[in-house]
Amino acid sequence: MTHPQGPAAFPEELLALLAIPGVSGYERPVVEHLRARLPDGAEARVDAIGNLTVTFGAGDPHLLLVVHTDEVGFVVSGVRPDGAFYLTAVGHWDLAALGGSQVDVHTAGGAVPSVVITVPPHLDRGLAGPPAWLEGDQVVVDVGTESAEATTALGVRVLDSATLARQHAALPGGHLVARGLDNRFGCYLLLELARELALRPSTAGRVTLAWASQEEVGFRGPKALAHGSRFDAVVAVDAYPADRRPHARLANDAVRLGHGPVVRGVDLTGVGSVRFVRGIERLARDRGLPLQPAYAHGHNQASVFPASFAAALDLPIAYLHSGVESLHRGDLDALDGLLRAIVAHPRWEELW
Amino acid sequence: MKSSPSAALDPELAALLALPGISGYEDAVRAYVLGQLRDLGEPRVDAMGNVTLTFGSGGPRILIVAHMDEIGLVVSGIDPDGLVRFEKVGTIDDRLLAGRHVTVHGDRGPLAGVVGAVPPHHGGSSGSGPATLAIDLGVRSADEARAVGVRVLNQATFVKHPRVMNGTRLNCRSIDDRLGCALVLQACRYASGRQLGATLTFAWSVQEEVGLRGAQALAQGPLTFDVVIPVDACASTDGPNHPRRLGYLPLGDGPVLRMVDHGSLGSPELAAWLTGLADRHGIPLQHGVTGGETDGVPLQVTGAHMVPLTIAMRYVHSLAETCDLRDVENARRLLERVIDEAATAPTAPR
Repeated sequence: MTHPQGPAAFPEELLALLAIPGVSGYERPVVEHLRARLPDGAEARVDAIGNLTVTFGAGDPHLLLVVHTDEVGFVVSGVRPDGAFYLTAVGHWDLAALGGSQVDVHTAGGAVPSVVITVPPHLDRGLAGPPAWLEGDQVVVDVGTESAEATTALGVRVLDSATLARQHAALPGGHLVARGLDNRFGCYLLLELARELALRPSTAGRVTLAWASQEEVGFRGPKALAHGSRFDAVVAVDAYPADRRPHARLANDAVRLGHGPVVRGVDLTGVGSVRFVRGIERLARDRGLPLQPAYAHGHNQASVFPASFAAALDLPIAYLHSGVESLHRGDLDALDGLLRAIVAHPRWEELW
Repeated sequence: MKSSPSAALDPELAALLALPGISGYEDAVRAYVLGQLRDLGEPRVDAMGNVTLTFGSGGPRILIVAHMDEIGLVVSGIDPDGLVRFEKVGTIDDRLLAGRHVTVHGDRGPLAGVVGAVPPHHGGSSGSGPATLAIDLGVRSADEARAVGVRVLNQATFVKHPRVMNGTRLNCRSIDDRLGCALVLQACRYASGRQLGATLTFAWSVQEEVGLRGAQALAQGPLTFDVVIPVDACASTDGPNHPRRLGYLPLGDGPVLRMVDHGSLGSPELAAWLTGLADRHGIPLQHGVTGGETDGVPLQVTGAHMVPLTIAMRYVHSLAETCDLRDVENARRLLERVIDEAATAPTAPR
């Protein structure tokens, strides 16, 4: 079923990216999709961990813009004798809120529909006690079978990845909702930027665009990028956990959807390059683009590039790491404009 | 997708599942039912919204009833920042609210929304209910919410995606009891134009999920019945990690005569008659004990023989209610035999 307002406000390229499952470690289909859509002549490279990179221009300074291709999801961790199976979370989830969710298991033969179990309120344990769908940190899932053999016959195997069933909506107030917006919106923006750079190369230096893997499980892809190359400056584009209701903690309350992207100067990973943050703020102001400077009670992949001027340029996302991640279309467009302004700047050194 | 979302799904059931209709807001479902009955007879709609259509005269007076309403949400307020407050209608586990897609049925049409979820980074939404959750339409003020048509008392439904698992296991929100609505419509069509040795009334009731209120109105007349057969869901505990103390009714082993639940004890005479029909026609049938109640509760105490004919269902009142389509087909077959042999049904003293 399509949601009443339909997907009209979604950029088609973003919708296509959201349609591809890519749990951390299983990003290959996303990488192949992106690689096939890079502009002609772009020399793309995929490293051993699955990072996709493409470089435009030559000389110094060398600027890196990085997003991640992976999404939070699950991996099949065991098939039970009764046909149900266990999922282990990949990335950070609120497991207690998953009961009754429709799930797709991504088998070698394609997606297999399944559901996270619940106990009805009509029966004892229905409304009380711990969630019936959890055994420790394992999520119990029903695929409509009564034996391990039948589940295996459907193609479900230990180590298959799984995601919440795809569902997207465009809300009346300009919000776009889908699971996996973190960080497919970033993948989309960098793909658009690659096309821009192919048409109008930077005169300021060399720019590498990177679609990194395994960000949600400890920045593993970004760490591999940092290990093999030296960049003068790094802009990490990711999601900022903004909330619509001030039930969030700390300074996140100050960030609102619809008020522009976020430049993250300080978070739990440390203090970023304040000079670079201020330079991006000046650029946004000069271009008339909204920007929200913020502290974040979280981590970001810019921190794995300590030898570079680094800044995190984020999109506020409400209900992060749930099936209803929400962004504001105006914020997305503003971030697109700011990224284009950064790569088009004639002297990057002035930004840091 | 190996099993396509609507594979093997009856188009009428798919249409009924797609309609919104929380308790008290059954209008769209009623309109569909009335549209289907247009050529079959002259249905009656009572003040509460129950639909009835009667065929035949004399013989046992039989009622076959399903409920049109579903559990859902109703708008209870709009906050200054545009977030929409709600209350639950029907029994819903609070833990199944956060992070769900919903549709608010506003004055100007359906509006896509979500029930917000606290990110796990900030502690998650575990246990949060209507007191702390809200529907987000993406608008930034109460005025904007009103401008797009949101009003207190609008209904909101969970977005539904019917999918079939492993070939026969349908899952979707509101199978309870749109499945019953579809079965009763099919039975009604089967009875239409047939010679009946009984008086058969088909009914689609309202407000079952909030206290069997539509059935209470039906029980007050003017129609009276010897036999009442509610067609509804039956919470089964055959699923993974379910307590087996109550309701162990395997999906796929046949429809269930729900002999004991929290509101009624089934009539032994009627159960014997239905079991005999099933046996003679090779229809698998289970006899069950489960929780909850059906429309049969207030109707039984009018003096009728009553047994719910139900479909064993996992995860009732969640977004992933799951039944086996083979049970649905066998329930359809049994209802046709009920109609064929209605003249032999038990009667109540008059």
